[in-house]
Amino acid sequence: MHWGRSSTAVNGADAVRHVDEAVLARLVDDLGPDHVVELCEIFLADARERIQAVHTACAAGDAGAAARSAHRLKSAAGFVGFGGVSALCREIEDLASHGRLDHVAACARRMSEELDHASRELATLLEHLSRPR
Amino acid sequence: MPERALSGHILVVDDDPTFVYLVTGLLEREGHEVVIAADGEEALAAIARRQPDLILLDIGLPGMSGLEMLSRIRPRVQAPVIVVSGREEESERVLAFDLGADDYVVKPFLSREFAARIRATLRRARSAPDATLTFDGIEIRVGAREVVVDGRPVNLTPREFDVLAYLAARAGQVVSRQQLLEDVWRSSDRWQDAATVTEHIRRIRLKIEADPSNPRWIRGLRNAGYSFEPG
Repeated sequence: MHWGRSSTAVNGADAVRHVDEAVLARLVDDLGPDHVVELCEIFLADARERIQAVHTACAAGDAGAAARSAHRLKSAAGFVGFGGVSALCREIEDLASHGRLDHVAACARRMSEELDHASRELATLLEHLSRPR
Repeated sequence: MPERALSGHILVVDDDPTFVYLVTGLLEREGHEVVIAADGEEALAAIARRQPDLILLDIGLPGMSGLEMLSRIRPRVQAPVIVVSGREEESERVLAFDLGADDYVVKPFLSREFAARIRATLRRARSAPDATLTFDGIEIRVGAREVVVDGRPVNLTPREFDVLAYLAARAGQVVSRQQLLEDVWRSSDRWQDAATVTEHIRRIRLKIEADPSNPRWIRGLRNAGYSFEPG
């Protein structure tokens, strides 16, 4: 399983990747494209809630709650190949464990942006992977 | 290829919707029946309704932690437990194994390996020679082929024992006469009268039930079959 962003050429040009195509391809093989589309929708909805929960925890000064939300999102992101989101979750867990909530909040904002990038890329990848191979 | 005969009733205890949806898809494609519990209380209620063949248990549950739940169910639940966790630390793994986990899988995992682990765990559990099915008031020692009711040994014929053990291993689940003929007798109702099953159930009840006309353990459902009630 690959982590973090990678560079690839799915559309004919090198670009920074936010979603690991290999992870998604395995899921499509194992579960079928329809199930994976629903799985990703469930993940995206939950991810937005988790990110909001990190912000709420920061506002409340609750480092433990921020770390727990990031920890759960980290696993889920790994399952659907959102390597960038997963890496940021790891960073939040680490920052929260050191009580650096100001940095956690900044990291959560970056994670929102990363999630937006990744969700846009996901649509293209799923279309690509759903074609008969 | 998945081994269909190794399919089972699997309880997934996790509150992460992505994990639950992913795992449900994987397990159902392997022929397993999946029940979901979002926390420890729901899981305990699900186990009381029906003993699972295998439990997938997340450590980071809301409320009662997965490890606390594991320590509570272990003395009375025979099913193997696979702990699934985002934590990789050795101390977490050791604690889970010490509390009775049969396997420990770190999230995220590769789906095919995970499915293979489920099959291997079910295979080990079903071939365990010393497996004992323990319920409140009745103990069925599968390896020794012994049954103890309220501390009293009960003599069953080999076929009666097989029927009782088969039902008890699927406690809470309705099993048809046809299924019993196929799986216990290795026959079918084309070759053997389903009344054979009825007669065996009657004899088992006479031996294990305090009041065979009002059975506590083996419940009959008209036109459906029989169910072993875990109490």
